Amino acid sequence: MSAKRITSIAILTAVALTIFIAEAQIPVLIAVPGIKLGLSNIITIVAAYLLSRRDAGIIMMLRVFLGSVFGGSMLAFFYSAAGGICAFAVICLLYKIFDEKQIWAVSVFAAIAHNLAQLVIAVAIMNSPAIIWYAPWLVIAAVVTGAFTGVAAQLSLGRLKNLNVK
Amino acid sequence: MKSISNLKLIVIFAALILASAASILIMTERRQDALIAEIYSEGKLLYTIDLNKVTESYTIELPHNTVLVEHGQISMKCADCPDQVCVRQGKIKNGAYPIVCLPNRVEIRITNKAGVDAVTGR
Ligand SMILES: [Zn+2]
Repeated sequence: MSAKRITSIAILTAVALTIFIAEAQIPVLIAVPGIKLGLSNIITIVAAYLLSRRDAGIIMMLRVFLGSVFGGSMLAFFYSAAGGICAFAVICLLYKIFDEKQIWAVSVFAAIAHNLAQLVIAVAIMNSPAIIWYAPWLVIAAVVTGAFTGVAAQLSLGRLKNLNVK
Repeated sequence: MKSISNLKLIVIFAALILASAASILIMTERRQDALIAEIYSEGKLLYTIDLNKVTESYTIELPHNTVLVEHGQISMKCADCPDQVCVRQGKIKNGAYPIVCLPNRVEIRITNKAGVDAVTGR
């Protein structure tokens, strides 16, 4: 592992954690239990395109683990782990289909995966299948936040590439 | 693999939003004849209330939450949870979106189960 790679992973993990913790302060717009918007998944996408998918996975797991150490309960850990892992899986699948000019779309699909994974966790924890009716709310939220953060990531990735981070 | 144009993607996402919005509308506007509210705490059913038989509104005090019971509707009046999601959800009038307080593990559901010995008082 080169020093450059370790540094890149550390910096991106720090950014992901910052977003993750800041996100906890954002009031949830819709009444869905325990579910967060998953804005920090955007760092997983940036890492996948800037470094590699393996490094993106490392950063995602570090963020989930450290995030629950800093500010979370066991429940919060399950939510962010499920959301983070499913978003990562989708990113890995779509990496080959979409190039850097369509990161915004990858971000939307990742956000949908993230939100629906959290919904499944909510159904399991609350033991209430009716919660599944929140899926349309979460799909709308995912498309909006995913597109917004995706465009932001796409723009910043262009700048980061110019800095020759890799 | 062949790439998908941005335009196609936008159409796909717009269709997703429209379909979601339509299903939400159908869910929240749905009328329900029987209104049996169930209040759960820690997964245990504590109260069963027939909301159609409620004449005067009253509150139910749980350790961390206060439930407001009214004729035909029910809501979380206040709670000590940090997110206040349950309180912000407001009143529910059908079974579509139960009120859930995840931090306190409290849930209010409306069912249409007939034949339940529903209590109307406190
Ligand atoms: Zn609450």
